[in-house]
Amino acid sequence: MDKALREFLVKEIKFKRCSLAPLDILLLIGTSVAGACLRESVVSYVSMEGFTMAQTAMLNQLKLLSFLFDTFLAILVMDMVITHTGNKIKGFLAYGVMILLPVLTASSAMWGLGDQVYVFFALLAVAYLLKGKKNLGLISLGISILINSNGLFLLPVFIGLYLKKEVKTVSFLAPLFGFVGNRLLVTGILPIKIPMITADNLLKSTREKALLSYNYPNIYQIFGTEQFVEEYSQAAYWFVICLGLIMGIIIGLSKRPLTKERIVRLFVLSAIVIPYFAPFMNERSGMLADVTAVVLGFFVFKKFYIPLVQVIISYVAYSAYFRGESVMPMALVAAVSLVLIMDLIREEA
Amino acid sequence: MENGLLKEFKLKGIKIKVLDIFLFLLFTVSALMMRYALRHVVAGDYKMFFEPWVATLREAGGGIKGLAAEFEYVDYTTPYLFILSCISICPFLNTLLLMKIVSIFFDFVAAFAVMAIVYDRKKSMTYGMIGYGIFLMAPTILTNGAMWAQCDIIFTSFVLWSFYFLLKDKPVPAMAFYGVAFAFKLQTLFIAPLYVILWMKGKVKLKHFLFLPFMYLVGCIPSLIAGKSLWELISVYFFQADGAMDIYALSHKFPNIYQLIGTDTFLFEYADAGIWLTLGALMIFMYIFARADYHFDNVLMLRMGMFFTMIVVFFLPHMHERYAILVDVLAIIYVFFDSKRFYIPVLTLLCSFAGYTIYLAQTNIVPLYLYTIIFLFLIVDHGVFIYKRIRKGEEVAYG
Repeated sequence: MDKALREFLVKEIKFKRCSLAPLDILLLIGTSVAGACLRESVVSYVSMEGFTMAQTAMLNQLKLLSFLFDTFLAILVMDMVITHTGNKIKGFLAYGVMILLPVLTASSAMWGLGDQVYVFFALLAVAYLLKGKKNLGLISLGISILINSNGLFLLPVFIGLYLKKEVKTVSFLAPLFGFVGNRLLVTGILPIKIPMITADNLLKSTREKALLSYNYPNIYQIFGTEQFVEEYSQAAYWFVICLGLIMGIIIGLSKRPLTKERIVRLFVLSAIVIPYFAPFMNERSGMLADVTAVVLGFFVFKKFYIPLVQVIISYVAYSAYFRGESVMPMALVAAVSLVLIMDLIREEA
Repeated sequence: MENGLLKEFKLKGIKIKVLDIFLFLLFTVSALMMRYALRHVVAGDYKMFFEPWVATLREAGGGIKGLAAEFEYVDYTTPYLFILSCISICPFLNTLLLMKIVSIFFDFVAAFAVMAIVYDRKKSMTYGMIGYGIFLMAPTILTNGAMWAQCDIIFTSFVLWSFYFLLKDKPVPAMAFYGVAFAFKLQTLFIAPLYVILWMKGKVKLKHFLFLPFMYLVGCIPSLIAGKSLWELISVYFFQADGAMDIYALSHKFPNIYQLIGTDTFLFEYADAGIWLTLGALMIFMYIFARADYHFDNVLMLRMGMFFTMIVVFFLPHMHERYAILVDVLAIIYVFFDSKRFYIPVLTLLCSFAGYTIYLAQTNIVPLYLYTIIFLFLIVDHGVFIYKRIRKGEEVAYG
């Protein structure tokens, strides 16, 4: 009986396009249920208080939307992993890891600000790029930037691809329109309410004072977040623009072949480096890096420590907001993040 | 003199040197003296829990009669309560010393298991004796019973004997001992995923798992005789799993994930979430280990045992300082299977003992989050080793 049961668990059953073993189905169902219960455990947390009934209702709906996009993200990562590694077991594992990822769970069920939506479109851009559909990738990136300007973190890699003549100039209209649209929406010039932008604005309104970094473990946690806010922030914007361009140019000039692994690694580097120097980053600014790092971990197993460390860094930032203070000194966390950046750069050197 | 020490003789087919006997005596006397030095230490747990429990058992008549006592709160199963109940009416020594003696006895039961495992591995009784000595001198083993008067070594010793038989490919006694361990403490289940993988790999049979409920029920017999209802006896573990007594902190000085994100906020939310996260993580790792095709050997078994236990205590909420004791003992054994990685027991015991120190000495010199980072490093180290071994049978050098 034991042998028969064991064999049944791993026996592949053919469906229309794929074959699955009962153990695979068990994993997918089990992790999905665990993911849903995980979110249910923390969903009662209210990240912001003191708003109108309508605003509170909108925030609650956003939690649901975020959970939906958590699932989309998990499926997208699973598809990327299966497509590019040809290993469906890795793909199922990627789904399980994504659906249980603490940063995604806390983001959807605790923050509930809909960050998953922009991250989904940004990752979709990466997926399109890996499939060779570069224009669709830039359109997807444009949508991501329209929803949240953090989507710009991935732009340096596309600039590099442009210099390698992999992408046409006209394709950059999508991220450009996305950015302009985002500015118009955030500032309220365009009278269209996008719930994610409204929620982010509501959160900004609860901040007591302007800081160079809101619990995000970046360079300002090492040198101070409260001094020279105006001066450093202006300088930092220009610094980040130049840094992004330099990154793009180096990628463009590099003679090394652009393998899929390398492209994903560059996206991870870009998603960590830009918010490391950009001013006014908040606790959730590492989400794009978290998700791309998970993809990298499944593409190149040797690099699995990158998502592990990145997710811990991100969650420490989350908990600093949730608790009101961080358990670990933020400067130390920022230093760890810097080591991660160095490690990624070393790979490129 | 040298020749005398190395002189060999056979005892039931086992080659023993005079040196081995000397080492056995030296380690035994040293271990007893170390424990004797700690005999007067009274930990908070004793005052708060054990002393009132023993008093309640004594009032009810002690022995089997004592088990009929009604407790306001107790999270031990019948076997250990029965030991306490016998202690309560023992005319010699005081309760604290008697409790410590019971734990020390099981220190030696476990040490003999380590000796047997190491002997089997090295085919040398000298190494077996060294294993025996190292185990008895390990700080967490020493302090758990002799200083703190805790009884974690009881279930641990049975798990060790279970491992001994697993390593010898004898699943029936292995699962019987595992069942006995389960009858004593719920924490036995921390390593249960390994046994599921062992089933998937054909090392044990499904019917062997019946030893768990069977041994548990056998353990309940004294309480049933005393008149307790079966449901009341079974529900002890449900109450423990609920964590109702530990809700005031997400981690009780144990270096796990909650030391990174805070142990004192979201007590209810993170407690539930932590359980689901643990289950999810276990599902993922069990899936990987069950789905892959590889040769299952003893080194892999030890590594998986440590890995699963560490995953559980790293993510589960309400973990106490002592809950990695299974990892501690497996790490000590592991060094005899893979001496190059001696850092594993060193770092494991360092992390584990950190919590003990904070509880017993009420001091915290190194922040617990740093121990957490070391603990995480160990988990990753185990994970990478296992992954390399199971991935297309890739060989990892050890020895």
